[in-house]
Amino acid sequence: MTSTLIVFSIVAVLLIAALIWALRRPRRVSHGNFDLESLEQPGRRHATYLSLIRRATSNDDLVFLSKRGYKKLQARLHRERRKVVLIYVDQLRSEFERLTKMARAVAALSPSVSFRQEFERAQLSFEFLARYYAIRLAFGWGFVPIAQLSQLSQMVSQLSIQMETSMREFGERAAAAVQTASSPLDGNGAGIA
Amino acid sequence: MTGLSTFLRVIWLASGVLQLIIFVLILWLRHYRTLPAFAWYIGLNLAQAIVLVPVYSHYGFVSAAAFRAYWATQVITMVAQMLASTTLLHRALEDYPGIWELSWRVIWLAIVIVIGYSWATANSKDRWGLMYAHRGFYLTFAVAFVACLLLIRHYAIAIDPVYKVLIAGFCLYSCGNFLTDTLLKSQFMEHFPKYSEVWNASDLLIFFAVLVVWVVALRHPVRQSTQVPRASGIAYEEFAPQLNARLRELNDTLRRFFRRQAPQP
Repeated sequence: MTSTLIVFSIVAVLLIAALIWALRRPRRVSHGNFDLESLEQPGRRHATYLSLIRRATSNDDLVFLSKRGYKKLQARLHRERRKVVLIYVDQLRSEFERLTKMARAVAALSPSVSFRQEFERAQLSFEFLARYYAIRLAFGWGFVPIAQLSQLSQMVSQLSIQMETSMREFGERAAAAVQTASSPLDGNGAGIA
Repeated sequence: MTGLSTFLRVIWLASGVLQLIIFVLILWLRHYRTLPAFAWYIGLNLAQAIVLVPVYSHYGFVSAAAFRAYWATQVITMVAQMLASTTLLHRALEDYPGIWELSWRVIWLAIVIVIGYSWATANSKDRWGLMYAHRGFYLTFAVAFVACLLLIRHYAIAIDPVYKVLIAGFCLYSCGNFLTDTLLKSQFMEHFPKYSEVWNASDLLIFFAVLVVWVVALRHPVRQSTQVPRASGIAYEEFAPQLNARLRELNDTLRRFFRRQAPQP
């Protein structure tokens, strides 16, 4: 009896919390006027800064400082690099979110959506967020050794370039899909209720 | 109306007055055109009260006749509630057929899961069978419609505030009913002599609060359907799998980092 009471009470509290969360005013809404221009905007040009970032996070400087005995400077450099990586990872997350937002916009405006695709995207977003927080935690608390820092920086840089390419490609296509279909000359357009 | 405390009488009367105000607002502002099922729901609730007043007065609140009359009419209002809220959701999402389709599947999924559980529980408890079925209904309702509201938020869809408040009111009422059924009648209060009054009072208070919010919301007109841009179904069919594949690739790259982090033998 007690376990049932606990389970049902938790369910009720969760439902009320979900209801309150669902009723909060969203930051941006699709009130029949999706921001199509924002879909077309490419992400930040990570490729432009890639060589600088690589240089800034290379192991050579740290090894050099260590050999010369500049321990304080080395620690400071490590802290600064950690910040740079965290900023880069944050940026990566915001771009991942932009991609998923784009997908949601297309889904919301489509006459039919696939449960499987939407569920898979939700799952991917969850996985990505879990890894993102794991990385933040590891770097924020300094669990990752110096050698891994430059490795992650490079990986994040590559990811950013991939993301940038995806943003450009899918942004243009999403905006084109929505605009073309909403044209009055198009049979798949506003006539679908 | 013997057996019914003054507090319950007052709160019941106040709820009746509020429902009457809502009904007048529906007629006055012609909400019945956009919210026909909701108008029926409020009308049936008022009719239930009109039927129950003479029954309670003649037979008393705590009587077999009152029990039968209440539950017979309650089933009708519960069905009306389901229809009203589903229609509201449909109206709110009529500009977004894909999301409505998704919501509909979520509702069915919730119905199958929760009713299956409620059926099994209600059969095993003869004494409280009706109460478990009642709780099961409100749990189904709350799970299904809260999930739909979450979907609406996930896709950043702006639905008319009137629809939102009405659906949220139904959800809140269902959550409250589910909670009171769980905590009061079926658990703590079955050994407490006045549990019935506590249960009725909490039920009525939640309903009263929901009615107040509905009165405020229904003073405003409901937005008519707007012309939103549309993406073709073909665009989605091509776009969604490709984008998911790209997201998967990105996730895999991130996963590889953790694999490299793992200690080597």
